[in-house]
Amino acid sequence: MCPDGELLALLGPSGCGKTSTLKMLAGIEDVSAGEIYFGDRPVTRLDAARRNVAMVFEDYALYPHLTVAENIAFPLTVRGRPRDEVRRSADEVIALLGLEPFRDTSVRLLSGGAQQRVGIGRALVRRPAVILFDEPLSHLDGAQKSQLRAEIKRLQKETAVTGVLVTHDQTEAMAMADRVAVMDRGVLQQVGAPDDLYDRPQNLFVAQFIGEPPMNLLPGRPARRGGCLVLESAAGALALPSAVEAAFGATAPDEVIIGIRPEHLALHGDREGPSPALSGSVSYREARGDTDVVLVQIDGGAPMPELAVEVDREAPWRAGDRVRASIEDRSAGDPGDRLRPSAIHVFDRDGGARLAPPAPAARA
Amino acid sequence: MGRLTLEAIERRFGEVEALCGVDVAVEAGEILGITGASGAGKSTLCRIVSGVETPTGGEVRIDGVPVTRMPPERRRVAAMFESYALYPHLAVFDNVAFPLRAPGAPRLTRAAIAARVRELLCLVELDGLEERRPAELSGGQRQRVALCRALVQDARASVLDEPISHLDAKLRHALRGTIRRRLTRAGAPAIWTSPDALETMAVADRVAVLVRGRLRQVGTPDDVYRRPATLDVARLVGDPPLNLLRGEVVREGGALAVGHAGLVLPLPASVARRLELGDADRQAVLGLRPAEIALARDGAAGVAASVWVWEPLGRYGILSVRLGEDLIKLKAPRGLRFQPGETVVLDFTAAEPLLFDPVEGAALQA
Repeated sequence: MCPDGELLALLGPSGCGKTSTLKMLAGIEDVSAGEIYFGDRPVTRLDAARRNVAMVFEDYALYPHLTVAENIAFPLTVRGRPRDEVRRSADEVIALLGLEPFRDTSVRLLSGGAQQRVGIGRALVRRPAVILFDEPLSHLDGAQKSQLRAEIKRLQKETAVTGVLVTHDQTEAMAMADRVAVMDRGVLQQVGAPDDLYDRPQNLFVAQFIGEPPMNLLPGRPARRGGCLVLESAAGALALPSAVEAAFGATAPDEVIIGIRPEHLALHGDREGPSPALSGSVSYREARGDTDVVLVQIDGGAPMPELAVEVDREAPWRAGDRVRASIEDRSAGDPGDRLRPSAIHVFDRDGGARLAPPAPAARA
Repeated sequence: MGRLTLEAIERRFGEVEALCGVDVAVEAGEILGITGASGAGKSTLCRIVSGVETPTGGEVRIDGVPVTRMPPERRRVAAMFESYALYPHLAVFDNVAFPLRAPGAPRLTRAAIAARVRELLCLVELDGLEERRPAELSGGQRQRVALCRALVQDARASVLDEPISHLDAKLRHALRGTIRRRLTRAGAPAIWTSPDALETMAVADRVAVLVRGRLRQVGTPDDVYRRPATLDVARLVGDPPLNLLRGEVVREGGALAVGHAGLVLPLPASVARRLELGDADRQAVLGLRPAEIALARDGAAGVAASVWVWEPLGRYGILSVRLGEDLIKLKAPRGLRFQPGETVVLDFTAAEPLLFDPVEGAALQA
C-alpha cells in the first residue's frame, strides 16, 4: 500500500518484476490475480486512459519538435481544454520547475536533466492521482543525477502527489522515497523506511542489496569462549557483541550467517587490536573521496570472503599489508561501547531470514 | 607489454570539435579512469583507441609503434562499447568466444576456449545463460556479455566504455574487483570510462577528467577529489559535488579570508600562500565540501539555514539547505529526520574552502 502523498520506491535487480508492477499500475499490463485500488476505487479492470495515472519515462519520451511549454501543455491540449486554462496550468508547472528561461526553447536543445524536468512537468500538469517514475534518472550523469534526485523529492513533497518510483539503484530509492519496497524474482522481500531497511534488513537479500559496498557476510557458529561470545568460522574466530546472545533466546542457532557493514569493521596491525579477530591481507584500497574502502582477503584461500572495510583517508593500510579485522561500531562515542549489537546482523543459514537483533516495533 | 600513448588526439565532426589536444599515456598494467559528462568525448576516445574510428589529428601508439591507421582487427585492442554491439544471431557463449575464434587470434583448443568463456560468465553471474540470444537478456545482462567478450582476449590494451554503469550496487561492487583483478593480471594498459567520477576513482590508478573534448586534469584519485584543477572538474566529482558559491576575498585582521553572504572563513594555507593582502576584494568562487559542513550542536553558534530536502542514504544522509539565494548540500549523520522549511544551524569550522577564479575557472590553491 502506498498512502496518499507518499513516494514509494520499487527497488530490485533487473528481472525482479518491478517494471511489470509499474505497468500493471499504469494499466498497460494485465493483472493475473489481485486488485489495485487508487483510494477506495478499484482500477484493476479500468483501461489506462481512465486511471488518471501519469508516467515519467527513463528516456524522457518528449516530442522533439515541440518547445518546453508545448510539451508540458500537451496532455491538456490533446484533451481539448480551453486555451486560457492550458496556458495557466502550463505556466504554473513551468514556474514550479524553474523552467521559465527555457519556456519557448525546443526540448532538443536542453541537457538531459532539463529534459527530464520537462517530462515531470508534463506528468504534473494533468494533476494525476498517481505519478509513476520509471528509472527517471538512469540516463543522467553523476552531478545532474544528484541534483534532480533532490529536486524530484522536494517537488513531490511540495505538490503532495502520490508517486511510485521504479529503480534498480538503491541510492536513488533510499534518497527519494518515503518507503522502499525491495523485490526479488517477483516476490516482495521487505517494505520499510530507508533507515529501517539499512538498520534491520529482514533477510540476506535485502541486507546485500541495500548499502554500498554491500554488507559483509560471514558464515559460522556462535559459541562461548572464556566468557565472550565469538563466531567460529572457517576463517577463524571473531568476537561478537555479547548482547546479541540474549536475542537468540534459549535455542541458540547452530549455524548462522553474520552480516557486518563496512563501517562496523575496524582494521589493526598484525599483532594488534582486540581478540579474537580475523587475519588477512589487504588486496586493494578503493578511493571513495571522503573515506576509503579497504578490501581484505581473509586467510584460508578462495572460499573465504573478501571483507570490505571503511577506513578514514588517513588510515595507513595499503595493498599487501597484513591486518586483523574486528567488529567495531565507530559511531559509538565511548570506545568501551564499540562492540554494540547494532554493529551486526544475524541471519538464518537456511533461508536467510533475520534472527537478531530483533526488529523494533513498526514505526507509525 | 608496452604503454599506450595518446598524442595530441583531435576529432572534428565538421565545425564541432569532439576531442582536442588529448595527451595522455597509460602504462602497462595501469588502469586509467576517464570521467566526464555525457557528450564530453569519452566514447569517441575509446573508439579511436580501439580503431573503429580515426582521429582527424594526433597519434595513438602501443609500445611506441603508431597504430592510428591500423585497422581494429590487427591492433589487438580489446574493447567494450557502451552500446554493447553484441551479435544478435549468436548465443551468449558464442558472442563471448567470438574474439578467440577470429582469424589472427592465437589458436586455442575448443576445450581451452570453453574453459575461458565459462570462467568469465561465472564471474559475472551469467552462468546458465550460455545458450540465450542477446534479445532474451535484460540490459544489465547484455552489458555483462559485452564485458566478458572484452576480458576474454589476450589484448595489447583494453578499453572499457562504461562497463558497469547500469548495474545494481551489489553487482557493481563485485564486478569492480573482478574486472580490476583481471586487467591488472593481464598486465596491458587499460582505459575504463564512467560518467560517475567516484567509480573511476575506486578502480583506477589515475583519473583523467574530460570536459567538452579536452582533458582538464589527470591525476591520482586523491588529486582530482581533493585538488580539482578547475571549476569544471569540481562540478563533476563527488556525490554530492563541491558546493560552489560566489565569494570575495576579504581582509580580516592582518590576514586574508573569504566571505560569502555574511559567512567569513579563514583561507587554508595552500590558498593564502598564493594570494597577497593586495588581493582583498578579489572575486572568487568558493568550493565547500559537503562532508566538511556540520550541523551545530544545540545552542552553539553558527549560520542559520532553512531545510530544503533531506535524503537518507543509510550510512549517512544528504541535507540540502537554503542559505540566502544559495542551495548548499552537506553530508549529515544518519538516523536524523528533517522537515522542509525547518531551521538548522550550520557549523563551518571544519571547512577548508577551495578557491577558483570566477572567470577562468582555474583553482587558486597551489
